[in-house]
Amino acid sequence: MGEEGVKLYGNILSPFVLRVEWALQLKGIKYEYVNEDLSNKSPQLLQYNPVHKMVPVLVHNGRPIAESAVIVEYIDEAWSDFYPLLPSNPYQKATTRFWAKFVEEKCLHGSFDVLSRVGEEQLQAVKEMQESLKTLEGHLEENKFFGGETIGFVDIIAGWMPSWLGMIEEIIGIKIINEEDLPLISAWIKDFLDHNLVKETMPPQEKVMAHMRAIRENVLSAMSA
Amino acid sequence: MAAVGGEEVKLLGAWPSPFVMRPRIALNLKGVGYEFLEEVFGVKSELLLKSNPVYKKIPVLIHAGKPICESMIIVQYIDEVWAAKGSAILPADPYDRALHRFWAVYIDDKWFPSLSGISRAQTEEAKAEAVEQVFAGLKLLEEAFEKCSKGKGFFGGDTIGYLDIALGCYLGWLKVTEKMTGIKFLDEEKTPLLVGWGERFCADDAVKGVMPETNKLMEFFKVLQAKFKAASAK
Repeated sequence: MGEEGVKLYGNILSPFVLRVEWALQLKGIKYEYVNEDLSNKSPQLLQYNPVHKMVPVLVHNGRPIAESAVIVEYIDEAWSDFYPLLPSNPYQKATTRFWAKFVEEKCLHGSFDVLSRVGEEQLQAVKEMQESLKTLEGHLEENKFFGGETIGFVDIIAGWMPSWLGMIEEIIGIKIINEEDLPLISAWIKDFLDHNLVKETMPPQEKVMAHMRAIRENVLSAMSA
Repeated sequence: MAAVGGEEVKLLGAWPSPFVMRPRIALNLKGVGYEFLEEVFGVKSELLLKSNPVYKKIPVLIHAGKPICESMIIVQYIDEVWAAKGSAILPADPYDRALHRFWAVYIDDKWFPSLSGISRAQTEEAKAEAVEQVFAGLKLLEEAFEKCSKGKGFFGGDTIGYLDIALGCYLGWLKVTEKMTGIKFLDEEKTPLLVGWGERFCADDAVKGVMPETNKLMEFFKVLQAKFKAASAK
């Protein structure tokens, strides 16, 4: 399968778009990045993702794929001869998919709860987040990355956590990840942020933080309205 | 029950669960025998807690002693391990696979929650909104069917595939909701392709024996509702 006509519709504020960029770059795939103004979505985006109208959308030879995890698996299967993102063994593959889903369901939703709550409820959300991370840490074992020596599927799906959780900690003024309680996750965060690909693709922190502060304010003002 | 290389296949589950039905259909499509270990409602067995410590939920497939959790992940596992047997569950082409996966995520994350939202709705307004969302979703799925089936009988083409399993497992609960609300969700005038598909799916050999009867499911649902009401009244 050729690399002709690979387009990624995205936005710098989206951690989901980053997942796709990492997958494409790890595979050495050349692509055109189309920046979307999410307050004024292009007709192409609405045509390519009519169901959700969201980024990321990958368009390969004119055919669109949406949903970041689905896109990453597509990239792994369509460009299968270089840098496998998922293991080939069915049991290991199933385990990989399981933990990716866990990250999505527990950690992603959990982080939104942490960002959007106050007082006791927020502390409870932080505690639950820490428990989820502890559970996830078990899967890391003694490996550098979830994918082993190199970044794999779970690293890509969980890759928003190192910088986004750090930003959330700063916004809410509460530490979520303590090195003594989560030593392996802390080590993974350091190694992940130190990876060249991650360094090169890191979005501007001030812009993302401003965006997340706005999300928090919107949720809080809606609650007190 | 022995399968590839003589390894045992067990499935932890319960008859009313649409999620449990998914791997059962997949195993049937592959002609793989398995031992069905039925969980008692309201009591989680030692084996379940040991095999799925993270979620403590069914279904769990145990193959050669190793557990696999999450229904659609189990379905993919079955498709990959027994690739040489029966019919393929996921299509061969990566783009078609992506379409099946995309719609399966939509069904689980958006469509089914609106369906189950109908019975959980506290106000008439909330109920009407959930009903509208279910209809809107079915319209999208009708279009998806046209695209994926390419004129054949299932989302997977000639045989039941990943997306058929993802949506079809909810047909029993859809029928229960139709009976309880008096609303015909699968309507020949609105979504004719899905109506035909639904009948073919339920009649298929891989599905027939594992799709619960609507009346039985209805009775189970009433017991569930009564239990929740009693629990919330305390």
